[in-house]
Amino acid sequence: MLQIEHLTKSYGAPVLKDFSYFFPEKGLFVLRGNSGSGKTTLLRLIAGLETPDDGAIQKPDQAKISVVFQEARLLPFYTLLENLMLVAPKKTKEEALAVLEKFALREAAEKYPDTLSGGMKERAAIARSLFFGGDIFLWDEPTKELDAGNAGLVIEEMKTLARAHLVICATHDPAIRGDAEIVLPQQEKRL
Amino acid sequence: MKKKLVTAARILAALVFWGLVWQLCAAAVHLEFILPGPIAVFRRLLSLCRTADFYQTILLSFLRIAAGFCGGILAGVLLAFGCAKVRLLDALFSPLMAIIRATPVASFIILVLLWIEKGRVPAFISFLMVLPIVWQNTLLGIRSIDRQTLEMAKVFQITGKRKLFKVELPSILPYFLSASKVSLGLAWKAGVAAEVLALPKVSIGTMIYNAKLYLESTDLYAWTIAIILISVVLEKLFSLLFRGKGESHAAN
Repeated sequence: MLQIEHLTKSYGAPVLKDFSYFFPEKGLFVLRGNSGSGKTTLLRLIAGLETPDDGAIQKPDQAKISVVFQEARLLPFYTLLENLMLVAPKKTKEEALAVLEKFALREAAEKYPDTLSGGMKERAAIARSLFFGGDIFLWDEPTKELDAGNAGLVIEEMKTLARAHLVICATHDPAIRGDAEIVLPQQEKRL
Repeated sequence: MKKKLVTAARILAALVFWGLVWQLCAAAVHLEFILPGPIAVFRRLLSLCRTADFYQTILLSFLRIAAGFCGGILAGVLLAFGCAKVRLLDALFSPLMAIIRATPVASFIILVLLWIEKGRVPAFISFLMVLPIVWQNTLLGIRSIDRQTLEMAKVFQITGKRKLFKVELPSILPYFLSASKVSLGLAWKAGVAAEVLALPKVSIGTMIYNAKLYLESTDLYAWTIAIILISVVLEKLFSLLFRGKGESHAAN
């Protein structure tokens, strides 16, 4: 489903070097590694937000990719509900509210992001990714801002999602356990 | 509600204080054609308010200045989008806008009087005052849409018109609205100044000029207060019209 071949990327100093991996159609794959080991870079390359210096990413042409960024990236001039409707305008408000409900955000549906806590914004960003839907879900540190209870909620959702989709999650959270753990090595920094 | 009453009382107290200072100064000068007292001025203003000419004069001045203001807004926004997309346009217009901003409004009025019919000068001057402010702020807004927001739009397939109307324009709106609000007051003041020099047939500026010419200082002060009141009303109307729109909502 997603074939990564000899992927290399550097920003002056190398971040990813000759990385290859085959991801099947579904399952939860956890990317681990120290800060700066290239987890986020790999997700950005798969999402098409960066171009590799070398190597290739093979995926079906029509594959729909849904992302949770490290930052919530909610638009500040829209309510949570509007932020969700923005990414999937053909879906109904009821569907959006149902997704917000999953993450205990229904009460906050009409609130603006700047009035919410970091954890609520992070859950809203996850809800947005689910509402958008897709074949491949790329989630970057989805439990970083969450307390244990909410993190558990997100992990359960991720596992459910992985039964039918490919979920690749970059995390430092030991509570997230996937079908496979991919440890990215720290690249040597150029002096 | 209580807070609003306290604020209103504070403003009223300040106005009464400065009114008393004005009255004392007028009493000390004791020459009405140099400094009429506030009571005489407000009486004159009230008598002006009872005439149809007063409203006709204000309406015509307003229409001229509003035409220039709207033209400046439209041209400023379109040019800002053009300059954001085409570097050559930016290179051409940046120095021009800097020159317009740096040129004294009186110089412009005199120059423009040589170029166009005097009735159109106030509108053109308002246009010139509004254009660089709206252009600069809108351009700043366009350039301030951060990379993270654009990446979010890309991954969630928000493209084309939807991206423009749902992501880019709302991001620019706070910059545009603050520029419009600032330039509204400026257009009004510069427009009236242009009327004073251009003397269109029916205008506030002409009334001010005539009052000065015939040493009718009470009229001069009454019209000046009318200009201030209209400026305040316009700003309040603008704020009311766009209340809640384009608020920055701290970035997440």
